[in-house]
Amino acid sequence: MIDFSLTDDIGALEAELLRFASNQLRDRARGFEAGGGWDAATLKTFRAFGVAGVDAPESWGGVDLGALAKVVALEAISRGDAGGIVAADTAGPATAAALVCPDQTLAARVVTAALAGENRAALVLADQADEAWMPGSTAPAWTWTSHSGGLRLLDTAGCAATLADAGALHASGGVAVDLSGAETVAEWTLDPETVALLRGRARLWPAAVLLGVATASLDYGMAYARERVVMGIPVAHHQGNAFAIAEAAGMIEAARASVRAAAVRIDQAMSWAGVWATLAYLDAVDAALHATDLGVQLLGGHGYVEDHPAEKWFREARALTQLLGGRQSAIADAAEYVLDLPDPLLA
Amino acid sequence: MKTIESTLELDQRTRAVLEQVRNLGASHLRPLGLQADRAGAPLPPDHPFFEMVWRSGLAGGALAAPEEEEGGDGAPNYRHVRGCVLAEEASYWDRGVAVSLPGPGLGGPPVQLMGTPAQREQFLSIFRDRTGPPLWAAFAMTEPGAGSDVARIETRCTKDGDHWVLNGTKMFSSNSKRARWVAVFATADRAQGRAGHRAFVVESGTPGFEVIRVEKKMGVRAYETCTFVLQDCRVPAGNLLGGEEYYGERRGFKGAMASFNATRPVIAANAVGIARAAADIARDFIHDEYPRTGTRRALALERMVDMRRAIERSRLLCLRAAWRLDRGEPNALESSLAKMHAPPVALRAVSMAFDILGEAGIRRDRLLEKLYRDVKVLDIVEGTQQVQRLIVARRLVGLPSQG
Repeated sequence: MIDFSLTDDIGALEAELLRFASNQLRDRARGFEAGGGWDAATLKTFRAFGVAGVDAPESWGGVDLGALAKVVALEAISRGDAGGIVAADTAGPATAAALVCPDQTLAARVVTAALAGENRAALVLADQADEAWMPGSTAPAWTWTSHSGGLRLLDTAGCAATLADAGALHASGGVAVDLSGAETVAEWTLDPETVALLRGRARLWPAAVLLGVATASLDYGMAYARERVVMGIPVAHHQGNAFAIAEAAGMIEAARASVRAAAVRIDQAMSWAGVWATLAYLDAVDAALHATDLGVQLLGGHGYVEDHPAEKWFREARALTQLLGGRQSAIADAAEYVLDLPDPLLA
Repeated sequence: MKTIESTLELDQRTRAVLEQVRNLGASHLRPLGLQADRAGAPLPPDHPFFEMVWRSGLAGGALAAPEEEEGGDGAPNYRHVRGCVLAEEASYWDRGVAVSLPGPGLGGPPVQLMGTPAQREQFLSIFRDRTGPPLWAAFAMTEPGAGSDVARIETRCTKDGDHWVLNGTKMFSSNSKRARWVAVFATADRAQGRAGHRAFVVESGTPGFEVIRVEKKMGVRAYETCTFVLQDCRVPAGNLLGGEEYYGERRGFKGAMASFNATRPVIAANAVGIARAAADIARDFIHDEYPRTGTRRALALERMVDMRRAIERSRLLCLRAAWRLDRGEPNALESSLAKMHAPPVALRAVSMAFDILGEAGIRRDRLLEKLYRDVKVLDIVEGTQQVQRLIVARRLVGLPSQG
């Protein structure tokens, strides 16, 4: 029967990572942003948790706890710092491509190297892309590209990488990678459901990070709004703000339920789980954009300046929603199948 | 040690009942709902459909959490989750007829949650015997001057020997005209505020209990929405739910709130069912009527994407709130989040379906147009979305309760 509880393993991992985020990331996030990434000690602690490979098979160097563990872990960490996790997770959303790759030997090689820290794998969700944003300061050794008919693996080790001059996610070391000269290592045709699974599972990665950012922003905004008095009562007690807080909390809770449900459905190999993951991603995008906007708004002018983290979450949420093709790409993918998509509970 | 993965699958028992509700929905709920809507009148209690459904054992369970044995070894029995799933399905076919089904309805939760074991046996066991005529029960909280603000109810209860005497007016009470009994909330002392609340079972035929009005509604016309008066209505002391000792520390009010924690996810699930029905109409129309390519189709598909994900996330909020209740965990926040979220989502879904159908939405048959009228009530009953926002804000940021 329906059961939303986490296993003890995943629950314990979440608790550990929330502590890590609170004690080692949150108050240092500004420093990470200025420095272009997490420091070596923080990265070492992060790697010890095994988050990068939590959804990869043990034979690849992973932990094999599945997609649910991954989204739970990413959300917990992102409450502390979303910028750094984008680069620190060396496997990242690319694991979704490796898991469906027909050549599992090659896929294992790519993921194992990424989890060992030897190089990095990236994923691009576009039929044709001459340039792509990627974390990590340099071009990755391997880049998967997913298109409507299948999957391609590129050798991108020698590709030019230019520091992306964006106003957010500085701690990711984001670069624009020129893919025009990349050599195709292999190419596979995939059936539509597998393509949807790949793309949806990959999108759960930014979805989970967005949930962490949204939650951090709303929690901070609520704490401020409970203390700050305006016109004789706390900011949070003005009905316009109280209602907005309730709305944002509802959107986050609903998006979290969607993202976790999509991950569970992937773990249980439910048919068309990938499309539900893409739909869940859209829920997370909407919730994060709404909550981080409110997070600034609740602080008024204080939300706009760097004395408070609200502006950082605002910038990060918008930037994160652009990864992996962004919102429009997700809508287009989901629209392909939405008319005949079976009900996930009743079908 | 929990090592079994989370799951979002229904058990066999729920699937079996779901299939029954689905069949009943197609054969009876939807046709009868349209019939009642056209007639502008509820189905009469002696309608043969009620006897048929009563004998089948389905009635009541399709609307609210059915009364069941507890799970063995302290395990949750998921009756609230099951109730949500079935309420969604029944509402998919017709929410009005679903509410009209015989059974304890919304009267069940207060008796279940606040009643003594003897009261539960006395008032709920009658619904187990399906050999006699169909039976209904009802719930009454709202008054002409106290809707969402249930703390301000004015119906008075006064102890008089081995009876309580009730005086007041209740409105928007579903099925109370045909009910065997009604769970009625009253106040023993308005000065005590919520601490003065008491809940009673008022049985039909009790002198002083009179239904004076059946509302003319814009939708969900298949069931009666009643106003009744209690005039020097003498109720046996044994009908005070939980007995007098129960009402220390505002437990009467808390009992009402606990009932809402059980019923709000069900109402929200009703909304999900209506939203699904609208989405299916839109889907079929696109399949049948839209060009195979082009901007018009693309825009419609984008709306379908919005609809499908909104419906699913609303459903998950309902199920999660019910699941927490089944596990004995606090769920007031989750119930309000579900109730806050799902009905507006459902209204938007029906509206989006209208957009997709264009003029055909009012030309073909009255189903979609009826759904638009039906769904609106779900944003009102059991606390409007605005009231849910107040409740959520109180819990999250300590928004003070006024009065």
